[in-house]
Amino acid sequence: MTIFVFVMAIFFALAMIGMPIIWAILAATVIYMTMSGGSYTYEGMTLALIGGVEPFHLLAIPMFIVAGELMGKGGVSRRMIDFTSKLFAFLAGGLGIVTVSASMIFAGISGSAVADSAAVGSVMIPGMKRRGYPVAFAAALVAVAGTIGIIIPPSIPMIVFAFVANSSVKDLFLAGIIPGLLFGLGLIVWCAILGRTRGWDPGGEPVGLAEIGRSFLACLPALLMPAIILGGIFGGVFTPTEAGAVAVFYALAVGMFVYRELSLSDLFPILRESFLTSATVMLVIGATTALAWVVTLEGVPIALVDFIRSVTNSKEVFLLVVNVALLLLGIFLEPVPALILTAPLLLPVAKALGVDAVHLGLIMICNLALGLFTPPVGGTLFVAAKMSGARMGEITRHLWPMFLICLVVLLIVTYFPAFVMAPVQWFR
Amino acid sequence: MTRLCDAIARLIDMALVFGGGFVCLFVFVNVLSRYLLNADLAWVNEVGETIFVWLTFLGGARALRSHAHLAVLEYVEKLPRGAGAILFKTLSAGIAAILVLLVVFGASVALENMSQTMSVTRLPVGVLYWALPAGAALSLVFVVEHVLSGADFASAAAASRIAVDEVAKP
Repeated sequence: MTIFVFVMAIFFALAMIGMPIIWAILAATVIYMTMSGGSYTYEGMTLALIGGVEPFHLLAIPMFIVAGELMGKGGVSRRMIDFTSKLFAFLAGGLGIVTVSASMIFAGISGSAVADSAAVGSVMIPGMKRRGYPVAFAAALVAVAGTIGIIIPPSIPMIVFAFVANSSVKDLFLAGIIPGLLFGLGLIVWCAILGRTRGWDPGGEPVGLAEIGRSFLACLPALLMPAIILGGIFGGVFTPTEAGAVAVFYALAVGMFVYRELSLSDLFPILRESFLTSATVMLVIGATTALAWVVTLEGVPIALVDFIRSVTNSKEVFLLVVNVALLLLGIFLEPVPALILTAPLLLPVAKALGVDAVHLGLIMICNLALGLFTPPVGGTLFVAAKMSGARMGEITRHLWPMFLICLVVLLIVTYFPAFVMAPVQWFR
Repeated sequence: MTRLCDAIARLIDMALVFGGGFVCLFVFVNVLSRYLLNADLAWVNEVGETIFVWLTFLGGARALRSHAHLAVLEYVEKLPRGAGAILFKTLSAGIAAILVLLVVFGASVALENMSQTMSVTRLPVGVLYWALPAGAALSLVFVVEHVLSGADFASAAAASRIAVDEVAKP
């Protein structure tokens, strides 16, 4: 256990001085193998590394990235925003509500929070600025709402967690629905309150039903995508990996033949970028699998279970510790590496204390979603700051109330498992 | 060196586009085949896995060249130029050492598995395992290129900012 703590300290030190996460993990693995004095071979390490990137179902990761990109570039985000604007823009705080609701719908198409923020923010940040919102608030809202992208299914971190925890992707997708809606609802209420009290957005004229209907029809192909993906998975029509492929071809067909905003030449850079992004994610998974191989053989998870049970036998206290630790970790690490570094250690403890793996997965993903918009390292925060041109300090000032709202939702997700597990039970 | 690396990067880009497109296509065709023709294409998993593993390691090398791997650069990019350059080169040496391990032992594992075959396609299992030493060797070339071209944390951070600019483009 002492060597483990020392090796983790080395990993963090290397990561904080700029070594890319994958190399910091592999360096920690090599150091662990050397220091532990066990009979570990480098062939074993390479086999574990390949074993981490090999599983066929992880192919869903690049496919959902490709599908999200195709939908974003194919004119879907603009139509989704148009539709939600017709529905909500007349309300006080309406454009804020439109931003959150469009992010929630895009979350049902894309599995990436950064893609969600980029798709919605590129239209909504200038729009909110024109309506009179402070641009730093618009950026903060886009950064926070974008993180719903990894909570509402499909979600790349959920696919990764399912692999690490040997859980069902379908169960995790189902478990993400209510927490995602709760995060969205919390932000919508906050926008409505600000719209009334600050006078930033008094709302506009309500739109007629016919116009809403036209906008709905234009948006329908995009709205059908989550129904097809999730319906197909939950109905047992196809596996999550196959759902990724179906989503790619559906998005391509919608972009090329329905909206006519995509051409085959757009496909090449999208495929290149998506599989490049996927490679960076997959290699971190592979490297962590190699580290987990040594950590497991050294008996660290069992030692950790014994240690935590010697301190407390309370599930509630354990979950509180998990939340605090992951919130801190999420400040420095992106969700996927943080998830695969900690999940193998937390899962045995959770199991021993009677916490469902799917529930733990959702708690972890919601926690790490908060890390995506907390400075200094945060994917959605970077994108929103870049799009708005606002200073990080100003954005952070507007982030705090939203952080507290998300924290309340996180506590609900943690201590009221029914909100997470109910849809899973319905389908089990 | 730069021209050689540019050529390798272009080849990897083509592999990502065509390999990625091909994988998406045949997984989708398998769904259609299962429901329309009542025939499951058993080779899809094995071929899909093999291509995916190759794309992962080749893509990893490409990501190294364009500084696209996940990294925390906020604390080091403002280091004084000299100190930053020394730290960058030291970390590059560490990365190179790990890559050498991966090339040597990855090749050993791949060779050992050339006699085993996959169950449906009968391809040697080593074909899949060669992806690791191949990707690691290309990564090593790109690490050398970084060091020789005087890359540092500032250029790495600038490259990642270009990536954010691309995402954030209205």
